[in-house]
Amino acid sequence: MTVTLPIRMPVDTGGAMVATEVIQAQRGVVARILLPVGEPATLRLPQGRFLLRIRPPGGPVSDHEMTVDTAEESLTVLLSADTDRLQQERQAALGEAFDGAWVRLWALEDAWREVPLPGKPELAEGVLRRLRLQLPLGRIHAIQLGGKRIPWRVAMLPPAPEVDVVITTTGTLGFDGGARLEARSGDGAVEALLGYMKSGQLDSARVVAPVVLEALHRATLLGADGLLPAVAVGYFLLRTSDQAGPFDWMERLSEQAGWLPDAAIILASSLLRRQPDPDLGRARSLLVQAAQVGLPVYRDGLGLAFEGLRALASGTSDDPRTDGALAAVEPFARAADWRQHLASFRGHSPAEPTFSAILGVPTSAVVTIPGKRHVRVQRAGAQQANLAAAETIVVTRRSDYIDFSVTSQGPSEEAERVAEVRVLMGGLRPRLYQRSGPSLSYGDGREPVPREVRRAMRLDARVNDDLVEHLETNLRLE
Amino acid sequence: VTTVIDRFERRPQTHVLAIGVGSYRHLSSGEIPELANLLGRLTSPPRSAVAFADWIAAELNNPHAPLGSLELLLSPKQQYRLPGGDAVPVDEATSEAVKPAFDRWLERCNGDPGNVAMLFFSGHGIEYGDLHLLLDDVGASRFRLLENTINLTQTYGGLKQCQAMAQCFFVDACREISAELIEWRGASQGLLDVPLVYGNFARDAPIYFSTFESAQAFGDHERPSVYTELLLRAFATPTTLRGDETWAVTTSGLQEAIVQLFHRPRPGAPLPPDGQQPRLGGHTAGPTVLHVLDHSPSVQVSVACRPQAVTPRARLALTACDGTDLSWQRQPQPDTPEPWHVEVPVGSYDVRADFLLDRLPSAEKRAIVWPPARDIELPVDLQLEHLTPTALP
Repeated sequence: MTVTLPIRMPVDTGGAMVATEVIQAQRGVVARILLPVGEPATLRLPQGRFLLRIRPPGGPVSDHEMTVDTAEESLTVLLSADTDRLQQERQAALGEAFDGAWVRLWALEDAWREVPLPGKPELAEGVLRRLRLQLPLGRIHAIQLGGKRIPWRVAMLPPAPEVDVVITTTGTLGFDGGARLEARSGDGAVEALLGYMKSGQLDSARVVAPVVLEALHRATLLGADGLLPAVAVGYFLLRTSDQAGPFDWMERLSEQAGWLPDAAIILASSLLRRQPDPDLGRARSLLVQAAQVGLPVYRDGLGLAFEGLRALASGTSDDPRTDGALAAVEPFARAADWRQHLASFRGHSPAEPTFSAILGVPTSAVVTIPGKRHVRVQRAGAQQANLAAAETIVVTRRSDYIDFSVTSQGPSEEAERVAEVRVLMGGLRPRLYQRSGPSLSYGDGREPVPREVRRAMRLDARVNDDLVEHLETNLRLE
Repeated sequence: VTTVIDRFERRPQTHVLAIGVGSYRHLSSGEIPELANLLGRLTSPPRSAVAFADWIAAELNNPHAPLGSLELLLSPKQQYRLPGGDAVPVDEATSEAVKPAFDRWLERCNGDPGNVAMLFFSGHGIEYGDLHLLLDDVGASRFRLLENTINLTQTYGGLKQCQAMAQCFFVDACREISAELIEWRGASQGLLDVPLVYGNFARDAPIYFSTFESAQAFGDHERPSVYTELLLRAFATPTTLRGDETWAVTTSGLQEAIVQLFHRPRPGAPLPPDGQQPRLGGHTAGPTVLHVLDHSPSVQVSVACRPQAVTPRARLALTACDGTDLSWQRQPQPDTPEPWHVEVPVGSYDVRADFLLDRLPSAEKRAIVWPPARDIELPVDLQLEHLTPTALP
């Protein structure tokens, strides 16, 4: 006989697994087990009465009473997820948030490039709800969601051949504009482990971790089967110190998945924690390598890379490689949405994290003014240095505003350190809102220039052709 | 005075630093418009810190690390009365007062690896990469707006140099990003230097956040915050039954209880606000025992009929099955549509619904009650003949 147990899941999670406690009134918790959602599972329990306490990651607990009448009877249970009711309630309240929503898929090649969506998006009541993506391993992918009312944001995608992207409502408008973006691999145990880590339910995570670790040990090579478990267990062990690393499989992971920054970050973080002799030199190389490859897929990786590089950068007199890696990671760490277990942030693209909210629909009507060759950079308190050849200005026309990015590369470190830049636009003053670099100063457009830096500015103004023409005539650096 | 309890001994102890900031002397005066526009004075944080301190002083029981000291700072300035003791004036939570209190706390925590260090903060918080906790005198200078803040991220990193293997941080503060204030983020400092790479990486050091990143945390006027009440409920209902029949709150079990209780507000209490959800941060190597009960905890039980509409017409009863004859009962309450909320000890119970005034059939089931909370639903076998105008409200 199969007993169906309804549970409420916070999001629609096909193939999910949930940690479950088996409790007896006199003996307490007699077992902690992992149960699949939507598939029958057989429990072998001695005679008696039991409470099954089912703990979905981050969701409300479901309690179910069980009676086993004869000794060693097997009991088949089927967890039935009731996500629809929850979603329908929220959907009704916030359906309009999805008006004008869109997604874009990105792949990291030599740079981030937009790629066509494989497969057809699933719509529900006219609203984009789900994407099932088949993605080649060996390359990092990211999904971007935005809309008229949904701030544009980017989420890295799990390194798995099949990824399920689910878009739901959050119940409130807030930071997300009412839209939640979840991306999951098809590995229920891995996703459960990551989900429990996200909500901080580490007792439940400890129920799942041995299952994932076993899958890792079963995988002979770190291919599709072993990669995800290795990454998930790696982050779990770094969070909990349940076992002291580094382990051989972390070395193999780093060697065989060089395209995945998480692999190097996990090994580097484990080397930093190795007691009593952390391997700082190798950890530094690995973190620098990871930053050069790209952005880690998981938020724990982003946090560990930022923390590790910051510690290493402050602990050495001058190491351009470490400083450069930190400068590359920091804008993403600052813009990150730490609520997600995947690395996620607001941004124009996976390469451009932003602090402020961007709304609207991407337009192909992008106005670009390349290479203003007459720009000049004025050095603070010294004679002028003409760095024009190394300057480029790109103006990107958005729906309600204009973005400027100024890339500057000086002839010497000394010149770059003292240079000051003022952007003049014929009386219009842009607002500096973001730039890459290890330090930050705002104000009237003056700032010290690191060795290589791209400054981003925004002019909040209704865009029209007259304004663009005005800028083309007047935009310059002084 | 900030040291309200000092029982320091050279053995594993629990040392607590609690800070509640509500007055914010420079925020409401309007002298610093950049801050005044964003943040105001609060009434809940000092109440929260006092509630936490009260619980620590009166209830905390950890045989492995008994209470060794309690440092308390409250703004506005006020007296603190230890449970069953005298009232003492405690210092305001200014940067000048917090730093020496922190140093004393750290010295004590550092004395033994078996120590449990607890840091509780309630007040304004701003997060932009690092989390900045605002002290009473924040904004003393308009040129250094975040000068009198605690950079929690750096402080957490710095406490890697502390020998205490268990370090718990309770942060009851908003974690919103302020576009206006990020421009001054460089001025915020940790309370101690950060060891670069070396340190106590094996520490069990969870950060129990009242809310998730970039979200707000809420508190009612003149009463402890939603999160503090939730935290103290979680402390009061240990979920780990140990071999010696005692019940323990552990570092990891505490967050499980917080997550579970968050979805079940206390009867009569307002629902948790939208947009707030407690989160766990930091590094958790435990579970470490924080608190022990040598008796069975009381569990918050909710009893309702299915369909819910008949619950007010039922006489509801819980009877212990362990032969103690303990029982609880609620008479029909036609004006109370909510489920019946009752607190009972851990155990197995017969739960029953009788409809004395209606022709509805009785319903009963046996239920195991286990902390921190339990919902029990009694299915009522409604037949067509029961569906008369008098039978259903």
